[in-house]
Amino acid sequence: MSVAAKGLVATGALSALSAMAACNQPAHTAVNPAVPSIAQAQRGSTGASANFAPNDPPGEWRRQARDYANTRFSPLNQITTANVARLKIAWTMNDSIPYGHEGAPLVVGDTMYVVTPFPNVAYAIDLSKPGLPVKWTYKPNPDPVAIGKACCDAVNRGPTYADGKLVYTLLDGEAVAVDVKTGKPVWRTRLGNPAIDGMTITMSPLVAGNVVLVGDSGGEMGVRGQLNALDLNSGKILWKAYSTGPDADVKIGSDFHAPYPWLNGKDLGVSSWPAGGWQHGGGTIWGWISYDPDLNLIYAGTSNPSPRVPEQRPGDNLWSSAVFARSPQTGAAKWAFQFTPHDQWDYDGVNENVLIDGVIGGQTRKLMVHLDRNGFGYTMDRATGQILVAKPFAPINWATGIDPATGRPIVNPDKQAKVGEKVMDICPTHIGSKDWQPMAFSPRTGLIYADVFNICMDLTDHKVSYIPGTPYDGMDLQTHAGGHTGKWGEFIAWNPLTGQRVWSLPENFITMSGVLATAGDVVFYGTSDGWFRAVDARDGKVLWSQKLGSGINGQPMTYLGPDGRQYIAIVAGVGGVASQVMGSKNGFPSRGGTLYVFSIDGLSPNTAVAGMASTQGAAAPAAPYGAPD
Amino acid sequence: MDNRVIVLAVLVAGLATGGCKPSIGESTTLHPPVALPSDPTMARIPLGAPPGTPLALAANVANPYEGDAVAVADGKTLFSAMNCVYCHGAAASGLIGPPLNSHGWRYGGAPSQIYNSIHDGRPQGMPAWGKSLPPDQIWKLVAYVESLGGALPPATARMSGLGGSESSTTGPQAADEDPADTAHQALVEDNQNNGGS
Repeated sequence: MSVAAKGLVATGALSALSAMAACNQPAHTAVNPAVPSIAQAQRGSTGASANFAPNDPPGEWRRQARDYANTRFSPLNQITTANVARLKIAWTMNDSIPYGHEGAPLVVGDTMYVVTPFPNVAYAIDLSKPGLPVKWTYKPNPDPVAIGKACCDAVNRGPTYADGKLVYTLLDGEAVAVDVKTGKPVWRTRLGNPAIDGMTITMSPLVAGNVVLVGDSGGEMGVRGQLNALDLNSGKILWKAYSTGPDADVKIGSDFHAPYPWLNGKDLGVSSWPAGGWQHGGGTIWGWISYDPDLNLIYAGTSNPSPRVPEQRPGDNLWSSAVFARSPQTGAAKWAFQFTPHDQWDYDGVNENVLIDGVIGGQTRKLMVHLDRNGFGYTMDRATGQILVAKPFAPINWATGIDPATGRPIVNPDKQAKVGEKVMDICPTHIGSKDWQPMAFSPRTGLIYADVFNICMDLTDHKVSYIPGTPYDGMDLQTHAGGHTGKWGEFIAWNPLTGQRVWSLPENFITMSGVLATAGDVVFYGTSDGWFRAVDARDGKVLWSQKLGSGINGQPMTYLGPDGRQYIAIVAGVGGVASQVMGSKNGFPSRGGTLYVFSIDGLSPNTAVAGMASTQGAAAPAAPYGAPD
Repeated sequence: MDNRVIVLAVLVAGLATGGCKPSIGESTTLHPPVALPSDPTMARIPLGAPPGTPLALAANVANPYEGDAVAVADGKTLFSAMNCVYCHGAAASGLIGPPLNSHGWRYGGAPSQIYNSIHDGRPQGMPAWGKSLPPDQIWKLVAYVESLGGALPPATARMSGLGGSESSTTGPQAADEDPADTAHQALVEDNQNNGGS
């Protein structure tokens, strides 16, 4: 069913990287014999499509993934493969915050909304006026104790908009809704106490109907994963579903039917652990949530189990490193699937699930595409959880394939983690072949576009004790680039119906940004050394690149300004895991967040008043904005 | 939950397993008792005195385990057992928390100041270990940190963090600041252990 990748990864990649000269344009590799499953460049379409509900106005971007299906596809098409090379900076905004910027700005009407990493300040920017003035600023002042509880930098993955409210999470374990007219909080709900339980929140909520879905972070602190549903109008907790423990806590009831027999049974969230282990067992929900309004199901992945040392938790450790399909109204689980049973390598299952429809085996199916940290690209039936495709999207050696009868990985015994023993060259490393950075889907090509990694680790485990509010960890590891390219990052196009790479662009530094796909057949991504690139969606040709002021962990988005012009926006401001893994490497950029907005020839309300004699000019009526494209 | 219960459990576990490393439980019996400074003495030590100003006498308090290799080894064991290692990094070069092997101290790098940071905790997530560790174990942790080469001699104790202005007072450095003003903090790069949540 899957290609054995063992042996594909050579050692000595570090020296290969250091010997490499810096290059501005990645070498295009349509075919690389060292990588499994590379097909011809995509000329037509795979035929896959998606439901773009809630079908927001085309020029707006109201949630991090734009739509419930998590496609990150915009129907805007002013910017095309023919003119994208004319992109120039239209305006910028600095926030001076040194933590990792992992979210996208939103645009609703003529206002842009930006939320920063800790201290989680929200800005509303008036796009209709020259100078793009800030309409309001909301400072929630979260507790700085959370900075020292967040495993991977004091990051935030951005807000969501619903019913006149900007809804987002605060690092210190809270969710807040801000009135977009006044900039004042409507409600603020505390879900964790980082000083006591180590729980932080970095994820972006999803709003389904009247329900705000908020997960948690802290799989490195022994936090018990939980998904909370809050009432959009009051912030009151409607339900809470844990990722570990008895079925009643996990909200597994009579509606539940997992796709494989080993996942059906009473209280597996207790019995797949040593006594009591589930109480501090991780499975936190810090990634993206998608929503199918027709099936009335939300999809949310769970993190690594705690502690990260597997010897201390014999068993499958359900429901860590897994995904749940739940009712948004009640939280009741419809099905669940564990990608990495008894995870030994920190392969969280939190990566986004992109909901598409396509033909597999002669049948049109409702699908879910998930590129897991464990290196396998899964295409599943999202109504049942059944696996239809599972193939490596990057070189891996921890497993040789997926057993089609059970969905379980076939683990390579040579790459199992051991206490007190250094296991060399496990691929992928702890952050996986792909981490939280979300991919995009274009219905015009039927392809998935993703930032992936080519990183392996040497791993030594140490036993640990649970002490509240401290790391429950035990992994000691060193990373290096894998052999197939010798480069740390890669941008790929993936056929979700066959599980094949279509093309790839290797990158010198770890690629850890979101991806944007547009109806202009241009896809956008960024690198952690600060290159922001536009690529032809069909053949992967790099059409435009711009080096920004910091590395890019943010997510590109696009919107139609009040002037009718299409803009592309991205926040640069490196940090998070990208800095933890590569921060001291030569050429890695410094921190600090800046929002960059691009347009064709750099035209915008800002440039229309260029040459003004005084600061008063900003308030003067603007001339007709810019020249026609 | 009472942290002291957990620490006791760890201590008992250390005694029971009796490995080849000096365990936490054994360490107090290996040495003759040393005279430890009293709590009131330690409480008088200012938090990061401004550079160039005369020291409060109390900041000169030396580590009673100064130069004691066994205490350093005990401190290293504690550094792992209390999970300090997964915050400050395997080589104490920084991870979630700041590095402890450089001279960039936020709250002072003299032994007495390091003691107080461990004992009282600090606003950005450092737990207050004085609630669960006895003074001799905190001093052993200080001895381990001193052995990493970044600590400052007692006689030169002063605030050496980048944020220290010439006119600053001896009040808590970070607690009163706008949390957005974090540019002065030592941000940690190239520590590979964490998983990305």
